[in-house]
Amino acid sequence: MFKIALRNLGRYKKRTIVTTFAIAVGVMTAIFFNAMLVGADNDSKRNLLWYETSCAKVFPKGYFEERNLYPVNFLIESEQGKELESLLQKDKVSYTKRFSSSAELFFLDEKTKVSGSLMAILYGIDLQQDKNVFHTMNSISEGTMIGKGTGQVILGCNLAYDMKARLGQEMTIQVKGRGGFIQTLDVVVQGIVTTENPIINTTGVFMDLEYLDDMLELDGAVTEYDLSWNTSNSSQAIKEASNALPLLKEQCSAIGLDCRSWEELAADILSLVQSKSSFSNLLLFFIFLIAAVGITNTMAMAVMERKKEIGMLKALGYTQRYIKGLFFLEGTLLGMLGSLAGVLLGILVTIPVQRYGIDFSSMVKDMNIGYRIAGIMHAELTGKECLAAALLAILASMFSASLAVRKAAKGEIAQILRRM
Amino acid sequence: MNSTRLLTIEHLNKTYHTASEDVHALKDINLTFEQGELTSISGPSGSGKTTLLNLIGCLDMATDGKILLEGKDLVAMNQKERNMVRRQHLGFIFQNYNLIPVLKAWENVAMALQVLDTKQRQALALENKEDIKEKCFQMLEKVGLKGMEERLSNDLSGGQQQRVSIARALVKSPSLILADEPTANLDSANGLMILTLIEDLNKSMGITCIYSSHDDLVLEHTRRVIILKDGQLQCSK
Repeated sequence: MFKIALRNLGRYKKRTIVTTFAIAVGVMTAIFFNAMLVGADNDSKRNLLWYETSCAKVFPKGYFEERNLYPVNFLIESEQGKELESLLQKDKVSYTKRFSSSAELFFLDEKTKVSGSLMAILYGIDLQQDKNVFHTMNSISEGTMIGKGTGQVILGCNLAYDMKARLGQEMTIQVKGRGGFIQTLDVVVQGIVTTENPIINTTGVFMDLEYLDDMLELDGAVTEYDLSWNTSNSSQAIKEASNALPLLKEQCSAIGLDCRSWEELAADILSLVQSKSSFSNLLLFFIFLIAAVGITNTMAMAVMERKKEIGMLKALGYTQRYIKGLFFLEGTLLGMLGSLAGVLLGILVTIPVQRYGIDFSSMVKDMNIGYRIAGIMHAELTGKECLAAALLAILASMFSASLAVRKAAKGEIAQILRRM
Repeated sequence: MNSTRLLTIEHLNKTYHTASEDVHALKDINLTFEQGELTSISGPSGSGKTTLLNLIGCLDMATDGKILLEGKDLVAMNQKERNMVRRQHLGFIFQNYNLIPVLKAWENVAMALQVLDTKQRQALALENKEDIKEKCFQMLEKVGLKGMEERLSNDLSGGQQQRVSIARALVKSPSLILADEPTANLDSANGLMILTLIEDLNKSMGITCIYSSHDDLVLEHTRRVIILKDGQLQCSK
């Protein structure tokens, strides 16, 4: 049976090639899209952890629910902070503290005559400890690090571009201080950061926490503590955080604080990513549907053309099951051939994108696509995804072939032979 | 020659039901065939000769009547039993050969043996694949295709393909060979060669053979001619 099935594939070379190609394109597209999605997913998670959410944040009670408004009436006071720090040191957790608030930037450049205002998020950062958790200050693309106790700022690159900001330029920031009073600060652009997280690039303004503490009458209070378990490997950090967080959450709660994991902080983004994946799966389903229609058509044609063979086999005493099995095997072999070609093509197409990536920076600069990827998107090829795409294609081929051969051996032999 | 009764047909009817009318293809046919006979069923187009051959060959179902092959009624059998009869007792030679083009000549012949179960193969002294191959080669030699065993059936001429088809029909030593218009697709020289071959094999192997044909050449090479007209038996001589 195997010999006949295999030789029949060679007998109808053109048809075999066309169908194999259709399956291969389906499998290749599936592998490529999946690799892009896996890559985007992993890059997004890493960029969230490294630049935005850290592994977890500790807030004062009530802050998390209103975090999108950046309230300044919920603060971790100095004493409470010390208590938390000793807890974190005991658990050997890396941390930094930040003061985050929404702010309005007013700018007027005498040279370029560019003026206006922009909304941004102001982060007061601990110049010593921020690098223990975030990679932001490692991403200064222009200028230098801000000085301790100075009114210097570092701007996200997209924000700086929109303001036509240059190093040394003066601007004014309006920000709320303790109790909600509005403080106006005259600051100087000291640097520009180009991170891999588009939100930070578009909205981030960074200043020295010590300077802001004075100006905003914080008395050592901050809005959050940011925690990390591993700053070099995001997957490892996620794993370690998920192990440590249940206990830490309890400990924080005991001292009146609220500890939230990165998943809770990025829930809306993660659900958006998930919905994108569902849409992509739907797309893949249609790709396979097209391939399946191709196989059904090929097998139906084969059954039609080989009616006399079917009649002869039945006349020789071969069972309906054998005859169906013969065509089913052909369809399966076709699927296997197409899948193999598809996997090879998929790997060939994906490897350069995995190594060099695709630059989406011009697209994502002005548009929030959900993923936290600022520029180059890398694919991530996994054996599991390749195998899944190949198996799916083989299953689709088997299903299509079984549909096509359903009626292949039905009816009286005389009828089958007469139809020729 | 053996004169044992091989096949008896009693009050055989076949009616095709179409949307507009019932077509009586065969009406009350009664016939007997002895072992070793070489018979042709003749008659004009639409006379019912192929229908009769199909019913004898278990390729179609009779409306009523009896077809007794070695005493067993084929009409009363279920699908599985009829399949077994075709597998063991019947050999077919088709007008358009019906070979599998992707298989070699000997592999096409082997198709008739591969379907047999172990017991049936043992009865033919076929223990393994090598035995099957050898048997196929012997049969192809008998039909004059020595040296062409390894050729793909597509690479053979029409006459050669029909010889392969004869070898396939004979290889399992069936009780009865049914040949539907075996020379219709051949030129007269090849047709004559095929008829002479079947005649010789009938004599040497004693296999019963029934043709369906309206070709005079076929009728000349049979010992008995059954003539049908409008589904009824006209004469048997």
